[in-house]
Amino acid sequence: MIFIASLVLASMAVFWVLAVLPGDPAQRILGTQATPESIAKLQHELGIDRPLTTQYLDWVSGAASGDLGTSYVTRDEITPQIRQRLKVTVPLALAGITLAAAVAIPAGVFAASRHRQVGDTAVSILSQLGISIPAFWAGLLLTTYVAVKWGQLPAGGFPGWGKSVPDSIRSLILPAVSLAVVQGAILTRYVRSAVLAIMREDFIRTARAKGLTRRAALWRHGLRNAAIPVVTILGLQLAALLAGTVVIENVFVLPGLGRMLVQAIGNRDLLLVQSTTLVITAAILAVNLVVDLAYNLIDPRLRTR
Amino acid sequence: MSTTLAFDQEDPTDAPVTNTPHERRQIGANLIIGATIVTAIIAAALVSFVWTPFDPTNIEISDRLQGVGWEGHVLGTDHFGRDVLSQLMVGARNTLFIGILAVGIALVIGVPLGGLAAARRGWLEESVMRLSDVMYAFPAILLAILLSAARGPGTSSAMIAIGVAYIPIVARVTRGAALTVFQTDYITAAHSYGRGKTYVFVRHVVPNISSVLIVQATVLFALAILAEAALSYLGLGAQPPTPSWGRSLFEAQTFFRLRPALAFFPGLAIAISVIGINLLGDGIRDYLDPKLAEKS
Amino acid sequence: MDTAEPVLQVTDLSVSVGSTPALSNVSFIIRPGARVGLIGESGSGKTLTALSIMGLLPDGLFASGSVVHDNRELLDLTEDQLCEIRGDRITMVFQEPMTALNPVMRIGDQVAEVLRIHRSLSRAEASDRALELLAQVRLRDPLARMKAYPHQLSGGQRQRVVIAIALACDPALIIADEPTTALDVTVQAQILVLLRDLVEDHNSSLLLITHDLAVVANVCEEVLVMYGGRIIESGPTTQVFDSPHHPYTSGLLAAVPEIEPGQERRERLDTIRGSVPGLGQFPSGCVFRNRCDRATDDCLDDPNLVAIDGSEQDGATRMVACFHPIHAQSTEASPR
Repeated sequence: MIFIASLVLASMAVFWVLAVLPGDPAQRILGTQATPESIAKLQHELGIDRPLTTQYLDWVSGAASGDLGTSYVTRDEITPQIRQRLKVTVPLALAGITLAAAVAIPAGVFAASRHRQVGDTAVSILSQLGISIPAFWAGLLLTTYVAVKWGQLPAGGFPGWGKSVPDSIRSLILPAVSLAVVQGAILTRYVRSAVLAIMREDFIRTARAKGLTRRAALWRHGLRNAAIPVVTILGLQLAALLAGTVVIENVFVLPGLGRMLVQAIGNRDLLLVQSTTLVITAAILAVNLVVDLAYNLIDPRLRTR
Repeated sequence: MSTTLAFDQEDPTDAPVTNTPHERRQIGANLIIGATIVTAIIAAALVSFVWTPFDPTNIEISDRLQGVGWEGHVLGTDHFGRDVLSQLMVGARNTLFIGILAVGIALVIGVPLGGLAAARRGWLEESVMRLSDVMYAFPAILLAILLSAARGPGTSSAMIAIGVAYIPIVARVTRGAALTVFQTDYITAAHSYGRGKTYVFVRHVVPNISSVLIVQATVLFALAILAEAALSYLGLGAQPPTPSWGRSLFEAQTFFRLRPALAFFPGLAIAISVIGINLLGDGIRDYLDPKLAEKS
Repeated sequence: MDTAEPVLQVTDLSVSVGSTPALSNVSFIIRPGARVGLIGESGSGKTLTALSIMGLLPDGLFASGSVVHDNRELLDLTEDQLCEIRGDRITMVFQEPMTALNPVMRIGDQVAEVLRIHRSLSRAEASDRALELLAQVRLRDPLARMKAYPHQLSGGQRQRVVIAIALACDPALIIADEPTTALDVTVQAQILVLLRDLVEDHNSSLLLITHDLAVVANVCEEVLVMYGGRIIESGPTTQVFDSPHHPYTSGLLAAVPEIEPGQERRERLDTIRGSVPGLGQFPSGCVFRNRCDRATDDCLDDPNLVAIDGSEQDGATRMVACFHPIHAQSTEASPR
């Protein structure tokens, strides 16, 4: 329910931002030389001369049935384009978050278990560096030093799943690593502090009083409790990562949703911008929904209510 | 002045607001390194108004893509033959400008909003919090992209977009911190003297949550720098010829096979700034709130 | 009784926080089957004593002196060796039942876990035994509770679970740190009676830490009185409470409101002058001298805890650390 309500709210916000603020798509498409008549004609063709409420309802009801309309500029159906592009963006985002979690969770636990020792300091410094690097710069450095110098992995482009699955995977590796560097660094810090906080809890002392070593108490009692705040962060990060693909796809010239969004902005293709943003927003809200469900699995206190 | 003083003495609620006494305030390595880096960046930006090694916008095609140290170009030249170091120095202005204004927007709107939520409770608080929940999950960069799309690209779009995206974060932090302060006895006392909530908030609550807000502001500042760089990289931030670190990276991308260093220095400038501001924030937090530092 | 090896022999146990001593030369013996009360105000070092014995001091704190259990010096054991003793031979019941249990683990599993650590029981055997233990601590409907999570239980019920965990391996010694402080008054009595009965059934000894004199009077036959990180008086509970020798113990007893029926209400409760100093702010010499009416220049020296002649009862000796004890017959404390 909240998911649907948020989605409707988000669709209104997206529509409102693009509709209310100045900038006429017809004018943009035809250029400054266009006559008022030709602009009016195009406005009518695009349907943007209608009242905003009608436009909004039309768009939303279409979106609800899976039809996001037709691009102003290319006059192509939007839904199939987005579907095509999701095949790049979704695997990229999932690979990014998986990679980030695979590195960050062990690193964070390791740092917490060596609180204020050399290992902890090293992890903290590394994560501080990772947080400070713009993801797209990491991407540029990776293309420069790994792709171009070593020639092992492609520096950009995407062959398509239909053509070659291994090559497609190969071309997603560097983008996924660039995304994972920053998110992994952030996650490491959260995991570390979550574990540290849990290790100060009374029930960890109880566990140790039972005869568990500090490490065993951490593994058997600490991690599942620490997972509760970490899952929240993971959800926010997956959302940030979906947005991050916008930039990374442009670094690596990947035909994903993000690249389409930036191109659509460049072309003033407002309906495409609007629809792409809505899809990304829906994905983010869906992630939040999954996070809420995950809470219930991890934390029995939420189940009984 | 004298009337204010007399007034202060008569009104017991106006007694200086004291934070809990801190036993040891320590200036840590974080604070020193962070402050040094930030000072250096501010200095570079200020110096760039009166002096740069070369004219940062001077196009000299014959000198294009020269290496580090070539004929006095300490960091080489870009694809138009412009001096990279001069560009970076001027770019620092853009970075600081956007950071300050974006954080400013977020604070000016977010703090009263959070304070209102904490003071009034009820449906107002509920709606502010729900709204910020929705926006919280919504990545700042996406909002910025959307706003740039609507308003047209440019520095002001980027700035407003980043600032607006951070409002819910600031509102949230303010509310959380203000709630605990509102529940303390001296606030109740201030109310009992008939002080209005706005007065109490500005006079008593804000000074008490200032350390939290300062730390939050540094975090957002660092994030704003990263967001601005990403937007400029996408061509949605600063427009040419305004030098910007993010756009320098975008321009460098075309030539990175020829001159990888071009993509290196602007990114390094961004990373160092962000590290500096983060360290400064950590240092301030450790200094203002040693207890919090204990836990980290 | 007297010849039996003590369950725990603590000698000159000291702990410093930074450069300030938090625990100074604490010495006592717990004999098999004994129920010993450790009493004192907050900050007197009670919990620190318990954590030192368990080897669970917070990071950065170290205990010196000697803690001997079963002919082993606990302070010299490695973490792994200590883990074999913790939860098996020496166990602990904590003050806060609300937070002492893992919120995301079923009750049955939390009880069974301690059995699986120390006894090589199968999952099913451990689970059966856990069920027995939950029945022993008189948890209602134990079978259903096995599957419950801590948040589904009340504070008193949770403390019963914690007690079940502490008793699981029939330990030689149970240390209970303010086990009833966080509970409702009506529940407190039930839990205390339960603890006392079960300690007896399992042939364990009990070190009961509390600030509540009535709790000690009801449960313990011996008492140790702590002040400023030292034991200042000890002995059989009845004797210490009937005729306290240390002015602090005396003041503590006088400050208890008596509400027994038939007894005349005192108009005014006596209080001890001043308040407990913060850590590191205790005076040199006798730590109580700045609050003591009997203090003289003698008290600038540090009094030793010494036995009072002819006071032995069931092997428990009366001891006091004071140069001017109240109605003590002979002994004068000697300076350290």
